[in-house]
Order: sequence, then structure tokens, then C-alpha cells
Amino acid sequence: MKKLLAMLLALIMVLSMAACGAKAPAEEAPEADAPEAEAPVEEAVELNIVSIPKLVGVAWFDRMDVGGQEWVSANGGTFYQNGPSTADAALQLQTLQDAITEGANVIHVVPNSTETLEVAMAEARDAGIIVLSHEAPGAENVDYDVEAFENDAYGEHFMKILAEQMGEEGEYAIIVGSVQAQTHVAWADAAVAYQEANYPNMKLACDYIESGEDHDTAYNKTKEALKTYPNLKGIIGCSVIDPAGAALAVEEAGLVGEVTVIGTSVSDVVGSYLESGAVYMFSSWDTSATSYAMCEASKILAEGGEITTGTNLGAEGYESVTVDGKVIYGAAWLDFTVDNYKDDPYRTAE
Amino acid sequence: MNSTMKKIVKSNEFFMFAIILVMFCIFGIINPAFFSVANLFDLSRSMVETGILALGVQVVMISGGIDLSFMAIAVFAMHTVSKYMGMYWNDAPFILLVLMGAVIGLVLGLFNSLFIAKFKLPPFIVTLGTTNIFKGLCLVFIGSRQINNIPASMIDFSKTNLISVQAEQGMANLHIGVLILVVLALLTSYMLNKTRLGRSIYCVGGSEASAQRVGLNTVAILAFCYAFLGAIAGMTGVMHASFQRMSNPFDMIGGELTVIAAVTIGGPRVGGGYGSTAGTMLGVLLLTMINNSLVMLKIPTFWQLAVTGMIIILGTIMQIYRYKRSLKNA
Repeated sequence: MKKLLAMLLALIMVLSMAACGAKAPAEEAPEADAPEAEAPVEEAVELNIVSIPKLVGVAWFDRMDVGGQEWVSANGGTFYQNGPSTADAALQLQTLQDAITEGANVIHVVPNSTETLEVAMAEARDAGIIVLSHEAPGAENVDYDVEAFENDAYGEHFMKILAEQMGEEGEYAIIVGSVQAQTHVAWADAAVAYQEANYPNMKLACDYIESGEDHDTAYNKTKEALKTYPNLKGIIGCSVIDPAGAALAVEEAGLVGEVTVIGTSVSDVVGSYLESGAVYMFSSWDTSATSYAMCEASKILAEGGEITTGTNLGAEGYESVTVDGKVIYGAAWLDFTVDNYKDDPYRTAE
Repeated sequence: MNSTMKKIVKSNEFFMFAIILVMFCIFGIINPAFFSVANLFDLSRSMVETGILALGVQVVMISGGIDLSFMAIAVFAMHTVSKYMGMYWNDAPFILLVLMGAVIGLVLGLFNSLFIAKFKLPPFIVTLGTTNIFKGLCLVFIGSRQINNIPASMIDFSKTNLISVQAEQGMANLHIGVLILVVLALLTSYMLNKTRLGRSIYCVGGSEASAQRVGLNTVAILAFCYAFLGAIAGMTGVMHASFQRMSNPFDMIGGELTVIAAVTIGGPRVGGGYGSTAGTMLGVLLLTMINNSLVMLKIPTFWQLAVTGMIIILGTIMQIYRYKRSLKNA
């Protein structure tokens, strides 16, 4: 027993000496040439990034893995995506807690429900983990939230397109995934505010319609809205399936050309409706670029750097970001119509 | 004559019908568009999926059991048929696709039966377990991605209408699926009321031990009930993908309780032995009416869930109150 203790003590002494020895050159460094001294520190930062999307297995979040792997192959470290198989807040919380115990030093998360994750995200940060979120500008316990664009600008850009298609008059409706989805509501609010300021002959027909990100619900509620508001001429869908569900209702009612459907989507979901004319245009953003930018931001933070307005995060649309409080904004939305939807980065068909 | 009238007026179905009529009038007064042809056609189309599933669920509930796995079965059949037929035989006739869905559902239903009818395990637990098995196997082996390349006949089906008339805003369409629901409802009703098998299901639901004593093969009868629901669910799955013009493996699941609620409101009591197809269809109509009218009634989104829940509870309370009173009078 005593022997063991002695050996342990000896080991500690040796190690502490080694630690002192390692420190010494770094202390001397400032006296020498400064740029050279920074180089070894940078190499020492090896990021183990765990990325937690709302759910796995859908093209939208699969792209985040692509962006992360791209960054890792250029910068080293590891990037591992893990998440729930349905967009469930409780399951996502488990995944986040697992990531903390597994010893990740960076966590990227796209929250299903920001409130549910706040406590765990605080724990992660207390443990020295860098936490970045996406699609959650209201998140508190994160280093930064990274957004592809400012929500107001995105919502306004939809309203401009819708107003142009509607001839700046008539009623319109907005479908959101749920009224708890912060970004959806932010886009919708901005679109409505822009309309009120600029298009006095247009009117929001009813409260935001909730689709629950379910195609059938979006379809049924659009049908109801079409019957209830005969003057309805435009629909903005916020979640990926909303424009498709709305377009199906419009197409079945034989109202293609009379009701304009636009919104956030991907070409695999709305391609056929673009061809039929039921959907006029859709916007998306490439989450691989977002993921890449998040990795780059993590690296800057890990090295003790700062991210300010104008910082380049190395991905398309993130060359010069805007920082507002804890939120980093790119300018990275992409617009697609029937003419160019086949360039959609998420496209798998044909 | 008088006593037959009394019997009808006192029946559960008549009571349901009265509630529906009253709500129908109230909805129509709030929004006159509710009475429009377009809305009536849309309501009947919205009833198709829930209605067909409810036919299967009522059979299981009459037998005294419960099945939570039917949505998972529907999704499994839907995704399998959509994926492989879309890839290898895009021109397959719709009837064949529906039959394939039914066969897949039948097999999965028999898997449930094995544990419930043969090994006498509690159906609630078994089907809770198989729900996850079916869902998981579907995501692992068939795929977790939405499939857009579904057979052409499925998309044609979604565009096939019995009647199509010009409405105030666009077209009002009565979908052919409504006919399928009516035919299946008549067949199920016939099976339950006029065949030996159907009457045996009521017997097993009333008292399994007594049914056994009088010489019924309860294992086979129960196995039939779950297999029947499986086949019905498989068919509905294929129809669901057709209606949506794509197959998404995360659809449908979560909607089990709406169907079970519709059946429960319509008469069959948890515990078995009671229930009629007419009552079930009225229950489906009531829930569909509530679920698909909240935007029309201009009820704010936050209230929609609460209102649905309140109406379900209110309906059930009235049912049970009437049932207890009828026991006292008897």
C-alpha cells in the first residue's frame, strides 16, 4: 500500500515538473516574436463538436452534417451529429445531456423548444463547453446564436414578393409551424408590419394558422381559410411543408393563379407545385453553410477571439456577419422559382 | 309503431345525431360558409381516413380489446408500398396498391394477434410495444425520408372526384374516397350484424369465458379482429399517401387517440360488447366537424386544442349520464 502511494506521489511530481517545463517556453514567448508564439497555441485547439438538430434523418439537417464535415476536413478535430428521430423537445434534451457527459468541447444545437434546453445548456457552459444555437435568437444560455439572416429582413422579403404577386391588394394568411416557433412568428410579424407600413390595401385575414409542421393539417386549414375568406389572395407558409399543404388545397380548389402561395421550403417538397404554378416561389437557406459558419465561430471562441460585426466566418452568406447582442446574423437566404429550383442544394430527386 | 319510435328516439345513435345537428346549426350561424356545398364536400373527404380506421378500431373495441398500433401499421404499409412500387412499378393500378397495403397490414395485425389472442397478453401493452417495433422497423429498413416518387395511380386517385361543382371560391369536390368509406361501412355493419362471425365478436366482448363455454373459438375470433384492423389500417395508409401526394414516415403517428376518441364517443364502451357502425360513423363525423372547423369559426389557435378537448369530455359525460339513467329505469 505504502509502495503504491509513494509511486503515485512520484508520478505526480514528475508530471507537475513536466507541466512547469511545458509552460516555460510559453511564458518566454511574448518577449520573442509575437506571431510565432501564437502558432503553437492555435494547433492545440482540437474541437470535438457535437451537433444536435431538431431531428435526424431529414435532408434539411443532414446538410448540417455535410457543412460540419467539410469544416473538419479543412481544420481538424471531429464533428458528430446526433439527435432525436422525431422533433421532440424531451428527447432532444436527453441528447444534449448525453453530449455533455460524453466530453464534447463544442455543442451546436437547433432547439425544438428553447426553454426546455436552457438549464442543460447552462450546465454545459459551466462545464466549459462552447454552446452555439441556431434558429433560437431568444436563447439565453449560449455563447452565440447563429442565424442565416435577420428574421425581420426575411419576413419583409416574403411580403415584398407576395405584394407584388397580389397587386398590392387583397387578404392574405400566414401559416406557422406553431405559435411557439420563435423564428416563424418573427418572420410573420415582420411581414405583417411591413405590409401595414407599405401596402394599405392588403390585410391579414386571420390569426396565424398553425400547421404543427404537418402536411395534412396545413392542407385542411388552408381549405378552411379559403372558404371563410373568399377574398384570400395570398398565403405565406413558414415551415417546410406549409407551402406544399397550402398549394395542394389551392390546386384542388382550382384556384391556381388566383391565390399566390410562397414560403420556406425545399424543392423536393414543393417542386411539383412550382411546375403546376400552385407555388410561386420558395426560399431556403443552406444549413451546410450555417453549420460551417458555426464551426468557424466555435474555433474563434475556443481560441479566445471575438466575433464582431464584419467578422468573416468563411461560408457563403457569412463573409461579413452582423452581431447583435448574442446573435450572429448572416445574409444567406436563397430564393427559388420554377426557373431555378433544380439548383436547390437539398435536391435529391432526378 | 309507437314503441319502435320510442326505441329509436332513446337510442344512442339518435342522441349523437341530435348533438351533431345542434352543433351544425350553431357553426352555421357563426359562419354561414359552413353550410356551403364546398364545406360539406370537404368535411366528408376529411372523414375518409379517420372513418375507415374507426371501422377497424370499433371491431377491436367491441371484442373487448384495444389497439394502439394501427397508425404505425398504416405508416409501415404506406411507406413500403409507396417506396417500392414507386421505384419498380410506377404504373401499378391503384386497387393493387391498396390490396398490397391491406396484405402488409394484415400480416402486422396477425403479429399483434399472436400475442393478444394466442398468448393472452394485455392488448394495451402489446400494441404499445408493437407500435414502436413497427415504427422503428419502418424507419430503419424502409427509410426515414419523405418519398415524392409515389406511383402515378396514387396521385391520380387524389384527383378523382365523384362530383365537382363551381363554388363561390374555386371548385367544390366530392372525393371518390367518400364512396370507399360508405362501402366499407356497409360491409362492416353487415359483417357485425348479420354474420355468425360478427355476432361472435359481440359475444367475446361481452364475456370471453361464456363465449368459450358455448363453444366459440375465441382465439380465432380475436385473431380476426386485430388482423381486420391491420388490413384496414394498411389500406388507409396507402390512401393517406395518395391524398398527400407523398409518403412521409412521420405522418399519422400521434393521431391514434383522435380515432379512438371518435369510436368511444360513438358508442362502443371500453370493456367491449357494445357498439354499432352507425354510432361510430356519427362519432367520426362529430370529431371531424370539430377538428376541421376551428379556422372557419375564427377560434384563435391557442384555443383550438382546448376546445377540442372540452367537446370530447362533454360528449362523453352526456353519454355516460344517459347510460347510467337507462340502467336505473330498466
